[in-house]
Amino acid sequence: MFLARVTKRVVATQKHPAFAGKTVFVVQPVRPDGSADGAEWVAVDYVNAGVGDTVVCGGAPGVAKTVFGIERAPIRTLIMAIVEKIDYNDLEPA
Amino acid sequence: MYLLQPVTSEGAASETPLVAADPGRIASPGDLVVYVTSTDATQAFESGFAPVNASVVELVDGIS
Repeated sequence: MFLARVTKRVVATQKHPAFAGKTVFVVQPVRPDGSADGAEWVAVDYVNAGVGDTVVCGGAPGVAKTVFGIERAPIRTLIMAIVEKIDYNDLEPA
Repeated sequence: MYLLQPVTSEGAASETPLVAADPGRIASPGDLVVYVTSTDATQAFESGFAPVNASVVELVDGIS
């Protein structure tokens, strides 16, 4: 799993059936303090996230298949949670 | 099969090119697409299995 900020929405009409009705976003992995961490990535939304949200992304082969209840899902990464805040417990942000 | 050049959302080349299958026949040279790799690439086929490393799954109309 990784923390990321939703930066853009990918609009597509022609797509694999597994993507029907789902929103695909460009996400920028971030550190807990919000700074960018590595290359951007593409993720399928599962929690009604929006551009600007900080989210938890993740997935493994077969996970999307189970989550969406479909037979085949060529989906690597899902947006699985919208982050409201990160509690550092008085530690310095990483 | 297509040769894909991975790009950032701004269109700049980001990684080395790779070969990808297009099981849904949705792409043409010059198009912006979403692709998946590894096990997910095999899942893009009706059979659920194909000896490929990457598959095109979306033809991108735009990024907003």
